[in-house]
Amino acid sequence: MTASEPVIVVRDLDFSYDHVPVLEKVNLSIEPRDSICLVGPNGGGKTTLLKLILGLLEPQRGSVQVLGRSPAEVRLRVGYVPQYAHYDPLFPVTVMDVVLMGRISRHPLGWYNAADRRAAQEALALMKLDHLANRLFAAISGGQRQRALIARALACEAEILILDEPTANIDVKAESSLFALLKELNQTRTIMVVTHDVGFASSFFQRIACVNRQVVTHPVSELSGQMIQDLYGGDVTMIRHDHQCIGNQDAAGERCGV
Amino acid sequence: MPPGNAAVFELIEALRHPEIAFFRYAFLVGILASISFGIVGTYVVAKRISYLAGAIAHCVLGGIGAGLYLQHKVGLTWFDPIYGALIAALIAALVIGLVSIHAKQREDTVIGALWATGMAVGLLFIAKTPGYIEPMSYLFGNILLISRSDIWLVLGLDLVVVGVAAVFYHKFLAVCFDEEFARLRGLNTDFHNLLLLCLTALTVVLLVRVVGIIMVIALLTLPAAVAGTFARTLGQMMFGAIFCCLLFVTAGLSLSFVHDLPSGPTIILVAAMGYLAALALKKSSS
Repeated sequence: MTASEPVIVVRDLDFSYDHVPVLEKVNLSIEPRDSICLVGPNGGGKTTLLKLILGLLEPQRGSVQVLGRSPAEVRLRVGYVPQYAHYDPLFPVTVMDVVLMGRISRHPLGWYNAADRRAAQEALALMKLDHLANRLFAAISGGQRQRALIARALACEAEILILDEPTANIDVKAESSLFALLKELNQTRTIMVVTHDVGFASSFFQRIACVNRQVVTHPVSELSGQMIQDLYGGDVTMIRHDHQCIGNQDAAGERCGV
Repeated sequence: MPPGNAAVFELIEALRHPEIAFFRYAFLVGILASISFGIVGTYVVAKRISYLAGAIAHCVLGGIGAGLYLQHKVGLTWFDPIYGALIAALIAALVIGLVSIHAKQREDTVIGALWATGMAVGLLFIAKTPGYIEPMSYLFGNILLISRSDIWLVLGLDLVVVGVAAVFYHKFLAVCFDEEFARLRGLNTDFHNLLLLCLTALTVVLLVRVVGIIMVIALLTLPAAVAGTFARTLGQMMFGAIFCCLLFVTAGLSLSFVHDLPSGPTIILVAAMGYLAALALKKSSS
């Protein structure tokens, strides 16, 4: 495939859990080195869409293609950063061990080699965590753990980075440095982030996709000053955003994406 | 001679005494088995699957009962109940593994039902086996049942557990720490989970020999839990667990011999006190 072809294409996708539709007629196309933010209310289908793109779920209708293939086939070319909060705080594992997991599939049997350790070290250095490599993963701060998980995804040497709620449970300062890092990574990689906290993130993303059963995307550059003010300025809260997304589907999509 | 020294002297004499060879075997089996118990116990604690190990342990009674029945009623004299125990443990591990893969929502209900069903099958077989069989020895352990052939069994198991744990160390670590991520990196997590459960099943059969079905979970998890309060890696936790298990088993067996107490419960109480001490130490140091 050439550089200009989209890296992720979702076509006419339907998905339901036990006959309860979660996603309907979803179309989405993501270009190389795009940075897209999936926003929407809880239960709107963000996580389901993410899992479909990762190949953890199969669509009932329509298709998902990643890098021109099925998601399961190209799994190793996608780096996934899950929410850090679901980890067992008593699990005995060092930061270095966690980052090395990004390279687990490189050897069918046995252990990591020097090249794996070097790649993990470089990923840690990029995330400014090299001094914490031998610390217990559970003993570092929330923001540091989030960066360690990004380092793990970087150690995969993947072309696409997918992050699930990276700003949940971290403070505003950690959040702004996180987006500075993502901006840097976006020079060479496609980045997709799921969040319910769109106000702050908007300065980084090129496009916003509102996911609430259906998906409507809009480039951030098309936003007019007044619209940004309306949507993200002042006291924008998650609750207000949710409110806008619920209700008439079409109108909601327009309103959210603006 | 002070009483403490006398007890140690008596213990050493007992270990050398040709007429109570079972005590020497129990000691040796306990020491050698600590290697498998420590390694598998670490995975069970880190992955939080002690209730799965408990269910496997209780299903072992079904295999032991079937073994006794085949031996005494059907006349298959070569069929030692330990074979029945091994088969039942492996079947239980595979069934439980498949249940936890496919029946996410009702997992605990199904595991609980298997737990009780395994025991019920065993007790029915024992009831229909001619001659008097005391299920207590299987439920609470009886070192009189440990024989010379158990030493070979333990050595074989140690070899399997150490071999598999060494080859799959990083894979198991990835699957235990973050199964979803491991799957996204192309690892066959179902295979690794089932392999881990089969290792647990083999280890549980030996644990039944040493402390009995009811107390398997304690000796599997307490040494690893003690090690886990201080370990920074899974490997450290394994070595710590092996050492703690060795300490608990030898101290428990010695105490039970010197004070004429049943060995299984003594080992478990020593382990429980060790765990409390570790928690207290951790609390006071932080």
